[in-house]
Amino acid sequence: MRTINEREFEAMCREVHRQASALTEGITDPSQRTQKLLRVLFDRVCQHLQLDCQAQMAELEDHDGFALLQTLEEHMQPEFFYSNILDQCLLTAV
Amino acid sequence: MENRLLSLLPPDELDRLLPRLERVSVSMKQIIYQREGPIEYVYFPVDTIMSQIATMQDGTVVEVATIGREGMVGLPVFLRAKRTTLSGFAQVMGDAYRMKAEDLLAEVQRGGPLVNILLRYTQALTVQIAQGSACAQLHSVSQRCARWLLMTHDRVGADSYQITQEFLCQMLSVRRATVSEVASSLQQAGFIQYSRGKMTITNRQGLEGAACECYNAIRREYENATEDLKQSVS
Repeated sequence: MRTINEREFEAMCREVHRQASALTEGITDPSQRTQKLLRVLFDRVCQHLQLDCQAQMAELEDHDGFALLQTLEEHMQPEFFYSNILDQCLLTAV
Repeated sequence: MENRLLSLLPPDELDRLLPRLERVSVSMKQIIYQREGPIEYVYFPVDTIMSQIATMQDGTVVEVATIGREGMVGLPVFLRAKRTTLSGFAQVMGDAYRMKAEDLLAEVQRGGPLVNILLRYTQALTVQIAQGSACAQLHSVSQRCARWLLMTHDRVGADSYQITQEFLCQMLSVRRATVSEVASSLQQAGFIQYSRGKMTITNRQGLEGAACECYNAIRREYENATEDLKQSVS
């Protein structure tokens, strides 16, 4: 099983944060902006872990970003607090 | 009206306020207000669950209040605070009614039923936070976990909901290994099933027995508030 570590996830969040304006261009609703960034991160995490995004979402009965968190729970090695990194990214990007 | 506070408004008052209430979808992790930032809207949750959190300098996050359809997020606006050191964010996706902060302030100026409802709600939320603080000092992680699961169950209104281990760690302010141990013991007792982030309450009565007295104390406070308000309106 492929894994993801804190440094790798942090780099992804930094990248998404850097691209946030372009990624959410034309989206004014904060809820949709949050969803968009969560989805981009999920796609990138899945790509890193070589997982099929659609299959992973279906398996985890994804609702609005939950799949990202659960995928991290199941693949992070060693364990780290991903929420602090993610929240910081969303806090300043949305 | 699916939000309990709004449902307590007399029909004519609700009709008057409806044009200023916008039903919105709220995304998980959506920031409702940031610490020290402006609060543009207040939210009356329908089926979303929101948290008020305190963030420490090292980034550690601790939940100080869970707010669902029994309440409103954005109380600092009602209390005329321009900013707060706490943050608000959505922990479970769902819908809420939101009102511009300036519209709420206009209602406060005007007086009337909404103000009475929010005053009584402020008291109930204060009790929730105070009881939570006492609970954190006196009760075991297992009891607190059971209480938190029950409170979320009440607010979600469904037997199953999605929740990660890390999220429970944040809500209970404990390490991941501790949460894992506690969830496993509640599962072995047959009160819950937890797999791949899906939490199912399988024996609510049993879970209530495993929770500390704080669950009932907080619930009673909200029931009392509802009763008081119903009496004052009738």
